[in-house]
Amino acid sequence: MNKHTKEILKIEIFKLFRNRINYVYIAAVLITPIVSSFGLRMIENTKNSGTGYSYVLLSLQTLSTMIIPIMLLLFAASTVSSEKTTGTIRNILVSGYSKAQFISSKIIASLIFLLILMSIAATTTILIGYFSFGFGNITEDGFLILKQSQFWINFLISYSLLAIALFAVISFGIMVSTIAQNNISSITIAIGSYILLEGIKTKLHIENYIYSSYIEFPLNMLGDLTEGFYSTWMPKLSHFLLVSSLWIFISLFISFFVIKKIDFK
Amino acid sequence: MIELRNITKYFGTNCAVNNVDLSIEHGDLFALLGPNGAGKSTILGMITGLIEPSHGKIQINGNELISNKKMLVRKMGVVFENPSFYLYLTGKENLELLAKLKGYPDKKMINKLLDTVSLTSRAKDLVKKYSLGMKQRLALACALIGNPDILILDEPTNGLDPEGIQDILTLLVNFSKQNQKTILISSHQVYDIESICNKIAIINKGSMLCYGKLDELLCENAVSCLITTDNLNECKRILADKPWVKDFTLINRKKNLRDFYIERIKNNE
Repeated sequence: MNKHTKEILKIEIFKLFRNRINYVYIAAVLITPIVSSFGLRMIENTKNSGTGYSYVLLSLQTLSTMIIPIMLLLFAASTVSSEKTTGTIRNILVSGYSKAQFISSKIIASLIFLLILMSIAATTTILIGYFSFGFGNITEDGFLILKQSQFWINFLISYSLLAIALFAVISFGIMVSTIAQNNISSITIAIGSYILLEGIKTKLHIENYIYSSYIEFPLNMLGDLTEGFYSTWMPKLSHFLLVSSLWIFISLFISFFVIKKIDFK
Repeated sequence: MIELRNITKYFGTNCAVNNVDLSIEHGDLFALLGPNGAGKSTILGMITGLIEPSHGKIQINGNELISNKKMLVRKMGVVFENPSFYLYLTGKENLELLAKLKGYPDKKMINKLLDTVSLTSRAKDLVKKYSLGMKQRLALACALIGNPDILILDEPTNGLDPEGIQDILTLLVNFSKQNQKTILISSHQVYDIESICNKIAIINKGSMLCYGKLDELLCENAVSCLITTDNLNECKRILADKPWVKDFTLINRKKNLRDFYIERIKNNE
């Protein structure tokens, strides 16, 4: 990474922390685990209820499938389009930065924002889980299902895979943001297409090819482990990696291609 | 210093700039004049590397713009029509941010620039609280970061009151005199700009009507001239009756104040 790329990235991170709307997204991610903890307490006779693990899984599954993708789409869909709408992109380009450097800095800043949201979600959930429900070895009728250490190793693997799935969401958002004429249309198209795909993917039998279908997969696998099902990660893991990588690659390729063709008046 | 050779730009099938040649020398205070939609901003966009020409070449200090874009645009300061800033940052933060992007993170320079454009007292206010005139002055401060060799200003007096226009023009004249820099200004407000520029070019419908020193253009054998009138309809009627008038274009200056005509007269007639 050269000096100029580092500088533009530093500025992107500075803007990330100074833009108040990003704190709304962070607040939404903070509130959800608290609501989930009350939700779990109200569920009776649920297997593993009363343990921190089931709470962690319930809370993170809610966050990663419903809250975080929407927050990430809102964030990513406005990264490029907001600069285009206001015209601030021109200031960056006439400061001697290429369009590729501009898009790269947006991608890295979005990735950092994703890691911030995921870290906040995990930390909040684990702390609430620990203090409200407690952790220990997972047992059923006196038989050991999973050791505490095994759970956390598998948790790290699942959570890392989840980051890949969510990065596909960001990439899609950045692509829409690059193509869209303005900020409002970008956000509308990104959120609208996400909701539309969620609604029609099963009916059209295209769910295996849609990036959002794989968001719940990593934590579902972890959930199976805590339930005592030692299901194999293959072949779904390879499908997950292939589809997510393709969405990331194609979305980012289109973003770089489209921005190169745009004239900024 | 800035050379445009056969520059043409199409947006789809619409020809925004048609075969324009232009040569701006070091130290020139050059005005690009023409009505709205004439192609001025497109020409400036191509010089700043934001718009890629469909045909033609742009050279700055003898270097091809297209192959040395990063290096050449770093030597320019640009003020866009409708200056844009991050509204959630203060004026000073916006200036600091652009200074860092350009590689000049000197705090003394930032304070000096704020002082130059008389924004020191409002430096810590969010830009969303700024008036248009303050935004224009902040944009000028941003353009002056790093003491650029070339200053490019697209309609810098647009939407300003007479006092604001005078402030901006005085700043430009001082900058030009003190630093012997090249300044390129586009405007459709002829009256203000012509008083500070040593050369002008008149553009209409993407084509160059004339360009050169202002007094030369207004001499006897000029192919074009400017007419100022406070009676638009009467002026139109008179011009339409004259056989030697080839074409004329209206350049609005200000509502209900003055209108300018560019009158094209055949050579030696």
